Amino acid sequence: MGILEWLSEPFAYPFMIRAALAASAVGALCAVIGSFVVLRGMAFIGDAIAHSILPGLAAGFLTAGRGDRRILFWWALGTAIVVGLTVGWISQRNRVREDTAIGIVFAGMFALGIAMISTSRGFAVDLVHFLFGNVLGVSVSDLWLIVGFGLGAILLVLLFYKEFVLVSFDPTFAKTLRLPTAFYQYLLIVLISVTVVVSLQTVGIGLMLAMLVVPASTAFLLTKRLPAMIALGAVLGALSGVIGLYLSYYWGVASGAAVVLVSIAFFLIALLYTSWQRSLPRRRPTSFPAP
Amino acid sequence: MRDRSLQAVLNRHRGRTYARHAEDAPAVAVESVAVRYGDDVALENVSFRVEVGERLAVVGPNGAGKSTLLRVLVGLQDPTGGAVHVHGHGPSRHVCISYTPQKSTIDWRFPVTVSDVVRMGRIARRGPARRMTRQGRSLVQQALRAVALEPLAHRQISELSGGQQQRMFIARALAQEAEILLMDEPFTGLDVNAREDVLQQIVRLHERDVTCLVALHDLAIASTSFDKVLLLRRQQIGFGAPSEVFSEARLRRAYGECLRLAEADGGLVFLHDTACTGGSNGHP
Repeated sequence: MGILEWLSEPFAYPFMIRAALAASAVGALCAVIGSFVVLRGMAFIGDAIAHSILPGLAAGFLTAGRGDRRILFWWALGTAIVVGLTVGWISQRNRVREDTAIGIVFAGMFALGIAMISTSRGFAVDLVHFLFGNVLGVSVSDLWLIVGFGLGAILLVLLFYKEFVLVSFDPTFAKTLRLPTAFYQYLLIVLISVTVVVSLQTVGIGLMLAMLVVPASTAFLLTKRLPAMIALGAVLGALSGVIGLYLSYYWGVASGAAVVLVSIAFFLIALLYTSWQRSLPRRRPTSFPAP
Repeated sequence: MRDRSLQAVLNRHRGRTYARHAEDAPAVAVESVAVRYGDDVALENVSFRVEVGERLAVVGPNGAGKSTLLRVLVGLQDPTGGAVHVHGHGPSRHVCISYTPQKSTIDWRFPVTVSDVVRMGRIARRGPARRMTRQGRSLVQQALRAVALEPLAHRQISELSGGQQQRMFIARALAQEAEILLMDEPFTGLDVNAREDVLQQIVRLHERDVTCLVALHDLAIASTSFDKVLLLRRQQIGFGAPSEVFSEARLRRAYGECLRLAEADGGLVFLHDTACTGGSNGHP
């Protein structure tokens, strides 16, 4: 089998084309939003939002039945935004340590979701879909939701780019410029929530954090400026999506896991490369007189 | 000095009015300010005035309330008692105050360049469509030139030395067109040359009529390079010219019984008496 055949064979199936589009769009979107997650140290919040969606999904599932999957999207979105804003609100007060508070919300909501789903029949199958995603089952309308919400999120990032950068880099200075820093903080959390929900079908709840954090961190290692970091992260995220699908097609690996493993491979390569570069002897500056 | 730029007019239109500077008011006027957290007193009885263009050193032991005072002055925190006036108004209505936090609060690996950081000073004063005006861009260039960072403008910020990092923040304040500069321990971790370098920049700011309030630990720098000194230990222990404030009695009240003061070549020398065992160590 030639290399071209090998590459094109999976795309004889329309569901594979849809899956590839979804995986690459999600990979890119997660990296763009994930860049801010990485820089602001919000990884735990992202993970908490992802896991807290479960009771929302369960509620949608129990009320609508498994016939209409579209309704689940809106349940998930609503839950994610509410949980995100709550967590954001908690982290601005300091009654409890922030990570403790997030941990409580995270575990509590996740347990509630499992409890709700366990009351229905076919418990294990549905739970597995939510936890690990099912990118091969993406429909055309799912794809539209991903593209629509993804573009919306990216547009907002572009619109408020300078403010997001300032609020992430030096929030105190942002306050002294009298910018509404809390607004940008909450907006960022809403964008993370949207990203998590849109990506749900590709990687599932369990591996969401990896998509938010890994491609962006890889790009962080390799770049010096934020625009470059975001762009490279998006490319790496999209590539991980497509390459992961190939692995999934030819070796029968679960698609979400394959995508995440590819992105982690990229990260490890970048890590090795940068440590190798650092170990090289520094060139002597030209102005330095030779001994 | 009312800002007549288009952005200022638009801002006023949107209700985000920035306070007009009262002509004859001092740059900073603090009247019996207190900050309490429940029963804990962080600051009490602080009253002083700083005229436009003056340099004030805020000194005192660790935990004396220096950072708290700066945060109150820039409007990040409201005092629980007393009043603060900056150019005649409450501080939170100004965008002309630049605040440089302690170095340790900044993530130096953040993927921004020196010029990116200096440009941040312009965010509150952007032109139509939220783009930087031509005037803004030239101010950024001038600011980078003023602190001699132009050749390093495109370096990532972790590649700078400690002194260059402080100069970058001074450039950001210049780009912001700040009239008051608050710096929290800018000299910490700097070697002698870098310290001189930053001090020179502060002198230049003085020439531009920028009022500088700097929290620092080095009493020698405070006594030689600043017009006035505020000595704090939760309360105001002294305020005035360095030679008036730095008496052995006051310094002992601030730092404990072990501090000795000597005069040499017309300057003050601050010594810690290692043989001394009495008194507090300066931590209330």
